[in-house]
Amino acid sequence: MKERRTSRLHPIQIVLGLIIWSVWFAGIYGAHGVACAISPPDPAQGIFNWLNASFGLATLAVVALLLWLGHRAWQLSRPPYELDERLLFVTRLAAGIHLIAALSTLFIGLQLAFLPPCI
Amino acid sequence: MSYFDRSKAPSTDPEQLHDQFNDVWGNPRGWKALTIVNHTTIGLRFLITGGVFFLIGGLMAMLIRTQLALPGYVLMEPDVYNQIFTMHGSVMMFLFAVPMMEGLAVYLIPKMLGARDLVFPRLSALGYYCYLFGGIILLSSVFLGVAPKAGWFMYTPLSSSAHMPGVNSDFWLLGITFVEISAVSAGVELVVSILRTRASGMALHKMPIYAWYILVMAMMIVIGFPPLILGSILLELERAAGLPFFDVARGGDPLLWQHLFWLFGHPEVYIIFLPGAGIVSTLLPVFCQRPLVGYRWVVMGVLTTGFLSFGLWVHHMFTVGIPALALGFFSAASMLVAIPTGVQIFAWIATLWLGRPVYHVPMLWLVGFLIVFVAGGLTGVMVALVPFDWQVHDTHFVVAHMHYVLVGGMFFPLMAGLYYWLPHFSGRMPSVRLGRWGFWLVFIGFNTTFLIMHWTGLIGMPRRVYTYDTGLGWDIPNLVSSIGSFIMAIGIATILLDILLHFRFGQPAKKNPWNADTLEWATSLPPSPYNFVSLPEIDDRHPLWKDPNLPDSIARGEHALKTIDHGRRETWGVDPLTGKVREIIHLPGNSWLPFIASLFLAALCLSLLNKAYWIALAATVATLVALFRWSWENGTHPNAAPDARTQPGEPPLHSRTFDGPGLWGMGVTLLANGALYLCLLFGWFYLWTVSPEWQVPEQSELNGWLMLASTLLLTVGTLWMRRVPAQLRRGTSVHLLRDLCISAGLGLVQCAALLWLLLDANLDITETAHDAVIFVMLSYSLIHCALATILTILQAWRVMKGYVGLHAPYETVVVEQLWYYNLGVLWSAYAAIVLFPSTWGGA
Repeated sequence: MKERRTSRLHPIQIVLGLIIWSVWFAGIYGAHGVACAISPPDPAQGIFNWLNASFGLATLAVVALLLWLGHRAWQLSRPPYELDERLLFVTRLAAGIHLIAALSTLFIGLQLAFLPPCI
Repeated sequence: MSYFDRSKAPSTDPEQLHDQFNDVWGNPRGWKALTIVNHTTIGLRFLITGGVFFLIGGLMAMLIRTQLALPGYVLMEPDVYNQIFTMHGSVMMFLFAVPMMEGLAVYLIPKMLGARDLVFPRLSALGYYCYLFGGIILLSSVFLGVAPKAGWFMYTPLSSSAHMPGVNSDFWLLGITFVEISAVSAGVELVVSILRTRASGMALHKMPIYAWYILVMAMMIVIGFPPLILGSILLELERAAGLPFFDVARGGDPLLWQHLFWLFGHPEVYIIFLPGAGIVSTLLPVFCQRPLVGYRWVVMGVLTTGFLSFGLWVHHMFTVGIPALALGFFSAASMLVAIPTGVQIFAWIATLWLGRPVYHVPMLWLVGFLIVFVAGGLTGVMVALVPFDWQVHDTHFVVAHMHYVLVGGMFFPLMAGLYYWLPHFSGRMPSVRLGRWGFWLVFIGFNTTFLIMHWTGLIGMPRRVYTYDTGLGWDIPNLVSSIGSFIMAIGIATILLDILLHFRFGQPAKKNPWNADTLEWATSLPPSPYNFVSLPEIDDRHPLWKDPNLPDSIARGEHALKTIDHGRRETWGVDPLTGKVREIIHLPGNSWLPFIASLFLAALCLSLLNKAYWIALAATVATLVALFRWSWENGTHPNAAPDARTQPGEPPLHSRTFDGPGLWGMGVTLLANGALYLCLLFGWFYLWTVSPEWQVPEQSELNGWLMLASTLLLTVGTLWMRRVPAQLRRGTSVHLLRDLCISAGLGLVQCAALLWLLLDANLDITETAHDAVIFVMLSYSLIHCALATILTILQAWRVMKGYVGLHAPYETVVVEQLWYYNLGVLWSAYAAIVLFPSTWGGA
């Protein structure tokens, strides 16, 4: 059976979480460089500045998205869905990968709580 | 003439079947051996060539350690020493580690997956010859005394023409790029083969674990190598033509090189570690005689490692002055990557714990791997911490860490694998006594060399120095390291002796000598070029444990696809997720084309080295002609599929469908191409934001309207091209030729517009990095659009010849993808070059 690309059972779901993590990671690294070139926050503000706050919100949003996607994948592997072994493999793997991606995002994003930008 | 004789039922006699299959799959001898495309032969060639390069790289290591054994000792002058340590790193990374791991995968993957060959056999052969010729060109520089000497990382400005005016750096940039063609082509081929040519029924979750590792490794090559290819092209353009991408005074930035290099360089570590770990995950269960614990967890760990490893590159640049917050992101990611690796290590320990380990020689190497690699991983976490890294940066501590990771993570598993699969290569068993001696000498020698090197680094000895003064506390540790390295060399010699002797004196291997579970042991030993006479249905992760008689029933032709009198080389094409058979993939036979194409590429490389640009142009044209001829002998061409008929009940040939392997091959290739282009865009924005002397011309002469016109033309051409496969899907081909001709015509006009734009822009490409980057972006688009146009013209020609049509639609969807890709590239280039500057203070 060929799954549609948007299906929750499509094999792309296996790595979707880490693709989202990659986009987030490249995004904040790039955005940090650009923001520091255009309008760096005052170093005296420490971590309490618009840039850390924006990155923090973006990070929390991505974590929430990943957790939701992971939960959605996990639900598919439980009743009332009765998937065969091969689809269970996809959904469980996808759930695990989404969770890992969420934890990775959170752990890396934690730096925002300790380090000011641009210096 | 039909080759297909339906009156004859396939034989059940293994010898008769072998003879019939050998007529179609057999390898020629003599000069014609250069035409062989079969994965078994190509894989072995990779392994043997890689072994030779390893010995040369090892010899260089011995020279380095001899020089450093005593303070003030001068075996080599500084210039020679610089060449030797640069070449040691380059040879080991580019000519040994990656090609060996790819060669082993090329050899094993089809066999493990129950296929007869890789999906693009001619690409395998091209990859091998590019590797061989590129390696020879690179190594020739050593004998000519002009070897690269700026370190294996070629940092600018040291490697730039101002500081390195000879051809030394050019050898590296051109030679390595040549070799990388091999790496990327093998990467593309392995991805498509693993996803599309498994045994019938081998669903994703039934794949041998090694295939998961190789799938991730191959995808990493596809994404990870293009940044370095781009960097090498840019640096060579700077050196040869003066385009200033890395020259601060003219708006460039040397750090751009470091970013591009390490965007490749860090994933590279995992590109060679993951196949090593794949060997461990394959062998441990065999020697413990139980399945790997936590298959799904290991798959999760491998996928996570593959992704996270792309988020670590800046940890090689902790000391260059990047803001602390950005360093924090990379430091955290560098620590994180230890976790998925840890998951695998715990899975291996659990497998050992729950099984009944038997300590054959391969197991010694596996245990050695666990010890050495875990130690390397721990120092890896140490250098992931920014303050610690600042202390040990550029010292021998990093050299020690790197060797623990690379030798532990790649060499030890590779040796385990070579000993394990030796009966497969030769049909004979190695000597246990010599094998054990070899292991212990290497293990002791390695740790003697590199364990103490951590302290050498911690007490301050820098890397890359050709000698040192006495009295700094470095004398004894260096002497110990040098003694250790010689012990290791004796160990390598012992292993080499064992391998050479076993071909003559080794005991003949019995069937499946280790009682392994995977399908590669279902072939004959050594294997025939076709691997399997008949292709079995596989619904278990451990097929040979489930059915130990499978090799016999395969050889008797009791499974599928055993007809051969049609003269085609065939294997199953399956659904990537379920492993359900979708089509018969017919594979090309032996051909001179890969060898010829790689010879022309070698001529191109040499002429560029010698700055003979007219010869380079001729070589480029010759290469293109060879490659277009290659693409011509495809699909329904008589040389590709002499007879299209299949047995009753069998699926169609792939060339008669819309979803052949070429579609996947083009998709994965465009992924690699896209990675390169994204890096170019990154370079543009990076220089724009970071380069201290970035200069934007006050009045750009680039005609934005002309670029928009060219982009719109391409849009129309792509939409027209879309009609071609669309009508074939609808079951009509009335306007096929007309639509192809219109698309090609639009492509020609669009290319002309793009060329006009480029020539009309008066770009000052040698004075500002700004104009140089625009030049490269437009040239990139022009080359790709011209390629799509030529391929479309060829498609029209093939329609006229009857090779493409309703009966054989699949090539059109392959070419269609390239049009879509070009459209994305040109629109993003338009946004970056024309729209972005106008919103950010540029002209």
